[in-house]
Amino acid sequence: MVRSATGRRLHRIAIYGLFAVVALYTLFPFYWMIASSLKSGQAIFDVTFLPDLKFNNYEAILSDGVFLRSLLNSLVVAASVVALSLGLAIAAAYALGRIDFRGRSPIMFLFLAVSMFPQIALLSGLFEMIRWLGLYNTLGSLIFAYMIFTLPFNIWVLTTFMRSLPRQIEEAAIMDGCSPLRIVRCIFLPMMGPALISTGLLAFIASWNEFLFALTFILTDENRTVPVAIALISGSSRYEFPYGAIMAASTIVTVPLIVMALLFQKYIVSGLTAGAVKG
Amino acid sequence: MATGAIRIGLNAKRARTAWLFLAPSLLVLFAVALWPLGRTFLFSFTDAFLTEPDIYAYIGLENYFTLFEDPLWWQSVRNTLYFTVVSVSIETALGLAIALLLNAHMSGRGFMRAVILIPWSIPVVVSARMWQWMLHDQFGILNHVLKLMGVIDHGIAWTANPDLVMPVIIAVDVWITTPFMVLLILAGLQMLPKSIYEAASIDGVSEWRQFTALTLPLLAPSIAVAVLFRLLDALRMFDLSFVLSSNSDDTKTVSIYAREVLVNFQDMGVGSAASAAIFLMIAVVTAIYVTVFRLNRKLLGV
Amino acid sequence: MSGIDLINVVKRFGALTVIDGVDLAIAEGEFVVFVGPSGCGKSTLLRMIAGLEEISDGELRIAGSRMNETPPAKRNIAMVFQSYALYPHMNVERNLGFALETARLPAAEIRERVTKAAKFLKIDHLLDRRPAQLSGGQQQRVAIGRALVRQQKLFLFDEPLSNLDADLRMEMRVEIARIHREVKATTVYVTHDQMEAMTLADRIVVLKDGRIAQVGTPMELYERPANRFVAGFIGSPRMNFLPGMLVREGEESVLSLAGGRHRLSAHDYAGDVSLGIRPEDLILGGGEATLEAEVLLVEPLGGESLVHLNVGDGRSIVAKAQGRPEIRPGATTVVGWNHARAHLFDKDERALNPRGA
Ligand SMILES: Nc1ncnc2c1ncn2[C@@H]1O[C@H](COP(=O)(O)OP(=O)(O)OP(=O)(O)O)[C@@H](O)[C@H]1O
Ligand SMILES: [Mg+2]
Repeated sequence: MVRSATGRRLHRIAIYGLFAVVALYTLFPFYWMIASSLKSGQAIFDVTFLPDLKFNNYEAILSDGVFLRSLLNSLVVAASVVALSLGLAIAAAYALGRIDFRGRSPIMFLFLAVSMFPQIALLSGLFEMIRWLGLYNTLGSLIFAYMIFTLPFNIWVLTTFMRSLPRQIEEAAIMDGCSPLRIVRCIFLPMMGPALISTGLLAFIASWNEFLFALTFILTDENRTVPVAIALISGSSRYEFPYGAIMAASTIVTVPLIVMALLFQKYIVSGLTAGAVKG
Repeated sequence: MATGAIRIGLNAKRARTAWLFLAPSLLVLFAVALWPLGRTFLFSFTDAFLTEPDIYAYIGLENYFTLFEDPLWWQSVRNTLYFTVVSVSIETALGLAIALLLNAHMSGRGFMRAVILIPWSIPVVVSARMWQWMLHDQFGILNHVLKLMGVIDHGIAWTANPDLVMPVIIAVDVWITTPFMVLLILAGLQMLPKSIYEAASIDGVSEWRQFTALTLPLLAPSIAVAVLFRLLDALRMFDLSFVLSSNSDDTKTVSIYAREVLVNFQDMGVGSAASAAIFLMIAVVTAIYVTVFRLNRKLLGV
Repeated sequence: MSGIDLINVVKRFGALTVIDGVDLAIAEGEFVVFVGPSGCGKSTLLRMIAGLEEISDGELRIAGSRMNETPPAKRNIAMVFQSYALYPHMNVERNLGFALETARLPAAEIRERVTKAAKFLKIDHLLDRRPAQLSGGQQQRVAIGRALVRQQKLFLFDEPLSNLDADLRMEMRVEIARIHREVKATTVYVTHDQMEAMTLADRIVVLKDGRIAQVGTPMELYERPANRFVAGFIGSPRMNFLPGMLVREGEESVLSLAGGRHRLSAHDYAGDVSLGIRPEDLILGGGEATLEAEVLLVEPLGGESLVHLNVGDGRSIVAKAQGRPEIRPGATTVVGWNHARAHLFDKDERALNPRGA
């Protein structure tokens, strides 16, 4: 297909036009969220497209100990889930990716199947388990429960990655007298940077955003995570619904994720697709 | 020299290492997934209550009878299936379109990819709140704009109107999860060999034919995998309905139904029966999907 | 005391037998080279000695004790891999010292040994670099250094030079010979390259389909190949083979070839044979036995030339001649050999010797 110069220009303009439409569709809600969060008091109810740059909502939400506490909780949960699920998955991935033993395939299949379990199907059994472990209404319950969706995924992605590392490097380490643990720690771990970043980011995002378990296993305000905190903000009546505060809280929760998405886009996408290719 | 009486081969030693390294993960997954799943099924045959899960008696299939006699359960099944089919279809079509758009070799592509990642990466709760505010009947920006354009003269109660609330939820879900589709399809697109397009161009095959005859069939596996992921996700949808329209029966999904029975009514028996039913439903859908997909593949010979 | 004994060693991968009963004794300080066609099991045998593959059957002894179940790290072996297998995230110094670090040697000793090995291999100016910043030859030196610092009594090499270009290969070959002279470690070395095998080895082990075809010093294999396979495998260009028939006539045997009959001293064997003569043993225009031949092609190699000849039946053979012989393609000539330099193989491809020899 040979296009004339004008034809090509029109084509480019059309594509950039569509880019703009997609970007607007995607980003306008964020703009509106941020703009609304910056309007004070009653101003939020007048529809003006430009924000006032008033920070009252932020002051209100940040002076509210409960919200700050839930931010901290979310951070603790997400960070612990990342650390724990990566730690466990790295060890499992070494076994599954580098060692040929009977039972490997069934176990891979088991992990794949578990990653497809609907969370709701586990709720009552998990409830019992968490009570039994004495984790009910603690952050520990969430760190524990979030292993369901982070661990199998991480194991799959890291196993694929481990398998791609050169065999002779491991054998050289074996000849150098390394135990399996030392091989993983000193040889493979430093070579797995990109895969660890991908899986770590995805585990962080998934834990930071999770709602069903966080709503169910946590009873009291001071142990809540951010999504639940935001979902539970409510006013004294329908007409006093504190949208300003909600938008401010939402902005605070969203900003780290947006920064992460922008900075680590490549890793997130590669993790997502690595996870999908496994199927 | 000390050659032990019991000789353990090197392979056996390595296999032992493998099990040792797997043990923690297996233990965690057992405790967090397999055991709870088993207990859920077990509870579904008992009269247990959430407050005292230790005290229960087996009551056979009674919970399932209760569940299947509840019209609300069937409504939530219908809602879930409707939501799943419609939203996944729209997301697939839209995702394919945007992926093709982003596959154009233009500057700004990387930026666009980052932009579309954002709605997917933020909490669903936040998205729900954001849209709830934009769709507010009195102060929402959407009604405001529609009024300005003269389309309506009274604000529409988007999330309170039983006819509108499901479409609204689908629309928001499309906004949230289309990026996921786009990224997976885009990855598939980028794996397609460039050379066949060059050959096709030289042979004078039109772009539309190239798309239908080359791109779509080659892309089918990527799309199929992406759709499966979305399907599994959509079938267990919880947060969006919960926040946007928590008390509406018109958008109650099976997950919401099960949790309500379990947590709000404390009825562990019926709640577990609902959970078990959902598990089976999703397992069946997955099995059918994978089988059809495999068969298709075989028939097409790809 | 660090010889290696392989006693009827077998390796099976599932139903596939890859090493099929190998018996071999390697003396302390010996340099043994495994050669053989691709897929014959050289690497597998080496990896069994290293402990990287389990031994399916038979016994491996190092310094007299059974090692089958001993993990690689406890066999006191250092190994150099074909792909170098350097740790990409560590600099040269850490790569060299890593095994000692693993063994928890004091830092001072590690530094001393690393410095010594680096000097010995002339890589002491590269200690701060990462493997990716090194040339192939330098990486190979580091890989050897990594084995050296461990001061083991046993060295294994799996085609260490095959990723290098010809010049470097020669240089490293000399280097490896020097190391072996100075360190005197028992060495097992796998290669495809005959030149390496011939120059480095005290003894060469020729493997074929998981079995030993012959073991011997390079000259033994060259002079007295035990079978047609070894005869064809050792030497370059490879040995010429001509089919023939051996019959007893009184106190002599007679060899009939397509181009003539030749009287030989008595052999016990009679029947189909193949006659093997190395290109360098063929004499243009003379010899105790001769054949008529048509010149097909002359390839000058500088100091010597390869002459391709047609000896009837469409069979072509190659002769090596000094300098540049004055013959042209198309010309007819006579090619001959001396009986002492000819090899005979029976129909099972075993070497034949005259009675009493
Ligand atoms: N892990 C394995 N599983 C199954 N078969 C194997 C395995 N490793 C090697 N083999 C087979 O064993 C045979 C010998 O392999 P090996 O690597 O020892 O050959 P080699 O002599 O080193 O060849 P090359 O010169 O090409 O390196 C080959 O046929 C190979 O396919
Ligand atoms: Mg090999």
